[in-house]
Amino acid sequence: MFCREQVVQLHHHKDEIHRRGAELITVGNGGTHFARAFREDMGITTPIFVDPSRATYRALGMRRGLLGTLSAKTLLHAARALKRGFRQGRTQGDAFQLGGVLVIRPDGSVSLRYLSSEAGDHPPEADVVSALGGPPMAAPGAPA
Amino acid sequence: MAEGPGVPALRRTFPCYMTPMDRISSEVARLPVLDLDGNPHPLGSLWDGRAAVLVFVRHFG
Repeated sequence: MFCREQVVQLHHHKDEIHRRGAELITVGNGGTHFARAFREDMGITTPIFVDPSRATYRALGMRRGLLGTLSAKTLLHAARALKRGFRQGRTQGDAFQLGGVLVIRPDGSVSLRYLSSEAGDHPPEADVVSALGGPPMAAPGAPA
Repeated sequence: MAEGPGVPALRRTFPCYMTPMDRISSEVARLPVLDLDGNPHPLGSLWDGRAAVLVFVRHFG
């Protein structure tokens, strides 16, 4: 459910991401059939790709392991996601692979690289959008 | 394009904001990802001509 939560939350900001000259792209490690179902279930309109080999995950430094899936912090993240209405579906991909977020400029330079430490560990959406440059995006609840 | 204004502070606050890669290497940019039709694309094509927010998810469940 963390992946659903993360993608949907960022998808809400896709217009702002587009205004800043960028695209929001999801990469998963399951098969294409999982990705298609995910797109339809979550109503994602931005591009989705898959890397079943996870070579890109390894190359970009993303972690994998049992502790990241079962840590105590994961329970806190689970409570947050459940409160937002997300529910765990069947695992569709490598359950021990952790993810991350990168903001990459057109020349390939990286302005943000966030590697999740445990399941449910995501950067705040405002930080991701702000890494694109332009005025900082206010965090939810903060004065504009 | 300048780095996002809040990111340096975030590196001090959140350990997950590791010292960033300065740039994606050409070797990594050549790694393939598959579109929903199963067609391979080099990773670097995802930010070709414009910036990209890449969200690598754990899995689709």
